[in-house]
Amino acid sequence: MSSNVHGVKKVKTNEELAQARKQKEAVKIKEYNDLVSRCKEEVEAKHFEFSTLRLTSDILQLNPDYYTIWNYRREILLQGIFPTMDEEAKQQVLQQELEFFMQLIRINPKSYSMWNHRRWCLSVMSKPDWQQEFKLVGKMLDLDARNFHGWSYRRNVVANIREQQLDTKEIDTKEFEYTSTKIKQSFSNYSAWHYRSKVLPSILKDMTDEERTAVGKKELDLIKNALYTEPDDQSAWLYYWWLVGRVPSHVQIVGAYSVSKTQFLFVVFDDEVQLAGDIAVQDEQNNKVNGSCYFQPPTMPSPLHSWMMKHWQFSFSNWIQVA
Amino acid sequence: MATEPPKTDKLEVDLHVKYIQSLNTKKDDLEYWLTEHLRLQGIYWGITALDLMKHVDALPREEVIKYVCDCQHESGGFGGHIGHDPHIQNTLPAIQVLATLNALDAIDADKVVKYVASLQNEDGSFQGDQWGEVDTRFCYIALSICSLLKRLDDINVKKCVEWIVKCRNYDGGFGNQPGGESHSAQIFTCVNALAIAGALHHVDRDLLGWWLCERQLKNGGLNGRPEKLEDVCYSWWVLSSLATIDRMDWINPEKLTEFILSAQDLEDGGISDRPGDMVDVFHTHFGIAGLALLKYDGLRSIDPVYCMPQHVIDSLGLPRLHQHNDKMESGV
Repeated sequence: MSSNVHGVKKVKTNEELAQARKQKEAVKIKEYNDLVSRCKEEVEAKHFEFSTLRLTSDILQLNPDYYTIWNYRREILLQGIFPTMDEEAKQQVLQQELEFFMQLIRINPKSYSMWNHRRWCLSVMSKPDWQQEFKLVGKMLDLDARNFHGWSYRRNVVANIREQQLDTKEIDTKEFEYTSTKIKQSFSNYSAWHYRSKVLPSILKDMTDEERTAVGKKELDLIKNALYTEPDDQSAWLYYWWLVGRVPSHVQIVGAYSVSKTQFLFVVFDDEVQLAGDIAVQDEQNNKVNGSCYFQPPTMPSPLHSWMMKHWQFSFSNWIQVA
Repeated sequence: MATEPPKTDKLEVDLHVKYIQSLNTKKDDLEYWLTEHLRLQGIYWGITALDLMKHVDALPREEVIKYVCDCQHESGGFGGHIGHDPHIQNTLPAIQVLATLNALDAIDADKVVKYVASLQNEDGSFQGDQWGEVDTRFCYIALSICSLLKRLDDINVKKCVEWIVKCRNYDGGFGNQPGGESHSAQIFTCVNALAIAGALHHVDRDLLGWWLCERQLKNGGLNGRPEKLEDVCYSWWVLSSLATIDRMDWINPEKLTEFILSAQDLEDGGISDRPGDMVDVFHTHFGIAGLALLKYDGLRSIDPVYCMPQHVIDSLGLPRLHQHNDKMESGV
């Protein structure tokens, strides 16, 4: 959804003001609609040239969420402009696309269309500069430390940098330290805690037990600091819960009953259970008996206390144990 | 000085019906033209809200059906408006509107399913269109379309589930891609995609329920992520996820109802993101859908998985993948 419907205050108006605004808008509407129809005509006529590209720029400056126009832009580049160019010139045009993004992203930093276009540009560049992207996304997250698109793009940039490196330790450490910086700026930065949970496992991967313990103690210190500063904030609590590990609760079987002279069994649990797929049971001689759940996706109901199974071999007399 | 907006403790159905009817007459607003790419989705938001308020006839049925059909491309996908490029995000609302109007036979379902299947990637995820954006939103959309058309066998549901599970986080929530931060709207798409796939066992109900119910703020409204502002649309994303995992009683329904009602425009109708802001059909729909989940008096019940009136899902012969409305009458 376009973000222009969020946080816009309703302004009191009267008939006179509304009339004046409408007159002003009528001019803009005409200009805008003329631009759109000219652009569509050019694209339909397959005039994939710089002049058509400029028309898309003019429209996108007024309406950066118009996804079809972004599609036109890529078609124009791919079909009309790139084929006439060498790699260097192509790189230059794509660099201009990245600059165009910088102009527009100020209008709506949460525009899916724009972030997609940037990703696409990098994907067709012969020499993408990921370090430049790394700096850019750092700046974006300085402006808004919670921007969902910013964090998403950061993961994309880091993944590309990781791909180019044999030893990923440096980039992983850098990212881990980045989350420390962001968390220390604000203990409520949930995005940074989240990202930390994704980076921490790769940091620990090649460590000795002593090194791991040291990291663990440092994590607990950080969490303690956060909890003292922001005791009502959920961020550090959830991270803490995850770090120390949660105690899994085990579900018990109350009993299993076979229906006389049929292939059906009822298995009863002490809690609601959703079955992951086919199920196997053991008969009295400890032989594995394969079967399937009577309900199949998508008709499988929500978790239930008891389940009916259909088994291929019919050999039960009374109690059985679920494997 | 800002003046306090007038208050009401009831849903102003007549005003909202009029507001939705007025949307197609605002051609002298620049905004009307700038939001053209959202028109088909807007019709879904409008029709669904109207049906929940028992006024589906307030929009001209035949005209709507024709418009929806005109948005379809040869590929089978739908554009956001006539002449706009096809995208999976516009294909679901097309199917939803036609289903609600009992007019699914107006389109060629084969073509639609083929289009959706063509967007599935090797790893099970879905892209939004030929340009390759990948997001858990599109998994939900693909599963929802195929389920509504009873063609789930035409896509690889198992692989899709495997990919969605990769997007699960330590807080029990889900992000837009593997590694992405939990966000209520993405949680809606993942939880309900898993519900359609019969794979809700991948959800840790208590952990996720905790995270979701913490989204309620002191003023009763819900936010989408920790430390963010409340917003009426999360009345849907959060609440429907809680309904699907059977944890809706973990939030305070009276305070949420009060918050949604306080975001109504009592002069011109419609509901906004927060009290005093400009209304739009997106928030109007999700506010009313939230109230329907809360069993607000006079509204029809809604299916939390499909975000469509329960009677529509029931009459399509689809199973209820949740227990939310089971104690209710059919809602018609």
